[in-house]
Amino acid sequence: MGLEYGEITALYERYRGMVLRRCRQMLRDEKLAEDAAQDVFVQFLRHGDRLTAEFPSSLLYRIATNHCLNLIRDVRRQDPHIEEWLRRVADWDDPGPRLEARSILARLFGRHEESTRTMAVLHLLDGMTLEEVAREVGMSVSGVRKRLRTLRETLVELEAL
Amino acid sequence: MKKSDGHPDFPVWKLERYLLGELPAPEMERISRLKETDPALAEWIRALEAEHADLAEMHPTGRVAGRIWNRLRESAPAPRRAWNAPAIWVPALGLLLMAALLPLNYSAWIHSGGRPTEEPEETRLKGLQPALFLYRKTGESAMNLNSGDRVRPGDLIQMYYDAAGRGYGAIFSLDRDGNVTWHLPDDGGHSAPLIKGGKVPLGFAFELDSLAGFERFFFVAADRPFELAPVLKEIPKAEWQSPRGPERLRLDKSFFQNSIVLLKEPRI
Repeated sequence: MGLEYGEITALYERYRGMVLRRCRQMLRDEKLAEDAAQDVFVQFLRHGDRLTAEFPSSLLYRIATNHCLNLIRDVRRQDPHIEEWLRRVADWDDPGPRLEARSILARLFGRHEESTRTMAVLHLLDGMTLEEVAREVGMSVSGVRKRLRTLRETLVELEAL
Repeated sequence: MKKSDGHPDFPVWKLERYLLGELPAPEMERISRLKETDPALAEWIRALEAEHADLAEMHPTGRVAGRIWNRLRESAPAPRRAWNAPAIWVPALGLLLMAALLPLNYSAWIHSGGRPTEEPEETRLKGLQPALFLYRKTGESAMNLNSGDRVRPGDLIQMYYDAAGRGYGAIFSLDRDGNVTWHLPDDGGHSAPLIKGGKVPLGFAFELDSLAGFERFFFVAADRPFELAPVLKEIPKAEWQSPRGPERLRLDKSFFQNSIVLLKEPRI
């Protein structure tokens, strides 16, 4: 494993607040958030990029976001917070259609790459600019814009069903 | 703390990274500068620090870090080495040479120290024996407990172990009625991987119940993973109904054992 126990405690103490707050924010459940935060640290420590990441907080935040989205998908939580996020996705760039169906969440998750969902949360829920999202996920701004546009198109399409 | 309460110019994620010192330098400087002149921003940063402090209190390091470590260990592939690799046979050759050169009374030298209940067959060098440590937690402090110390119902007992190189282990306790409480692992039927490198706290403290009598804690460690069921079978209940009961289980000598008995006084 190549890791000392002290490294884990140091990492956990430094980033615990950020990771736990993120998990609580997304999952709205203390116990789920605690378990999810633990998963996030495990994933981070297994992640090959952690050794080269300029700012570990960025990678941890992304892993936390992605992991929570997966948990939400898995338990299909009907969370008003997530619905709000979906509404933002639907309204993004266009005040047109409104999202209503909760089941859209599951279908949306099934159609897009994990990274796209993460980008949408970073941009629409966290208020990151497209440039910040691009830096966060290691993509070009135009690439991020394209992915989000496609995600939105899917939502509109699902709404029309 | 909700996003809607956030500072108009700085979302929470950015302020968190500011606190961590993990923003690009110009952004760090900008926030530092504005913090001095924008009371709302300063208040936001203080609130975030307070929230993180609360989270630290709710999620103590010892409990979670130990679990993370165990999970990483469980999933780590066992190290494999080719038999022709010098890393294997050079030290082995050295050991053989050393054994040949040791004085004949080396056995006495090896057995000259160690922790309680060790047996000659499983003894390693002094200071390298696995050990169990118990502490009574009182507020922010903790008092070391030795075998025979008196405790009360409701006392919080924090357990630590020192694996001393052993890879797997289990910690459990028995009360006067022969009830077994597993502390490590907290579930499952197999020994837990042990963390090496000094005293390691379990991820939680154990609260003593109101049953008077005693609680005997066992630490069983081995070089290989083992099933817990056979360990349990070696608990002859009739013999355990006194705090003076046997300190050791009837286990194979490949196991190391350490036990500590605490005398439980009735609730006043």
